[in-house]
Amino acid sequence: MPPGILTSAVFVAAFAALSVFGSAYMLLAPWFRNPAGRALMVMSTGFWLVSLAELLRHPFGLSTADSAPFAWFQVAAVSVAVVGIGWITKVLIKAQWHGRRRGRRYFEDSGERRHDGHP
Amino acid sequence: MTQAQLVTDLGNDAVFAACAGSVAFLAAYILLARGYRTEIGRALIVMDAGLTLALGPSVVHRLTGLSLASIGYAWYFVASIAVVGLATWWRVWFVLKVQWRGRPKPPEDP
Repeated sequence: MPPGILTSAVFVAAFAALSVFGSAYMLLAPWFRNPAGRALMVMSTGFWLVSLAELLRHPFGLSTADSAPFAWFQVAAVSVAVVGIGWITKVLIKAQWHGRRRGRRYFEDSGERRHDGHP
Repeated sequence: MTQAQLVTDLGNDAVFAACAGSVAFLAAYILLARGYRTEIGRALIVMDAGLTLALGPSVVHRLTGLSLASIGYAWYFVASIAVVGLATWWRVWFVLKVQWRGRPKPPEDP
């Protein structure tokens, strides 16, 4: 099997995963309540747009060399991802800085909380 | 400068920034937060590592002129995007698991 077909397949799989993640995170988790959730959502949206651009490329024969709107769309998609990555890195560093001063580490909460009443 | 040239340059700059951001996030998350100790941390690290692996050759190509036309690079690119996809599915699983655990419990009968 040539890698070109596999490339399309992995982009479809990544697009599906990002779509499911965005939907599940939006519907189930209160992501908008904290900066880490908002940054993660922006970053995931950027990746989703990038994978969407890759999916549109083949069936419609789109190319950044031939289609200016498609090229601008791709630049915008990558830019959203860049903003998300930068934002989440900033949130992480800021939270670490505050957490260090307070003697605790942010971003270490994995959701693996105890259910016996203890924090 | 033509519009096509402008878009190409902007696209290259955006990819460069994305790769730099990914490396910065990986460094900060591993060194500062020690994110590898938790499941969500490991999922984020694997996803970001896949992204860095996917974008890295483009940055190296821009800096050194490395050819990306080989069949080896095509397989490498497939593998790196597959890592990103798998890590995203892992994150989906994690969100569902945490939400399921944290769901409101029905009141117990007296």
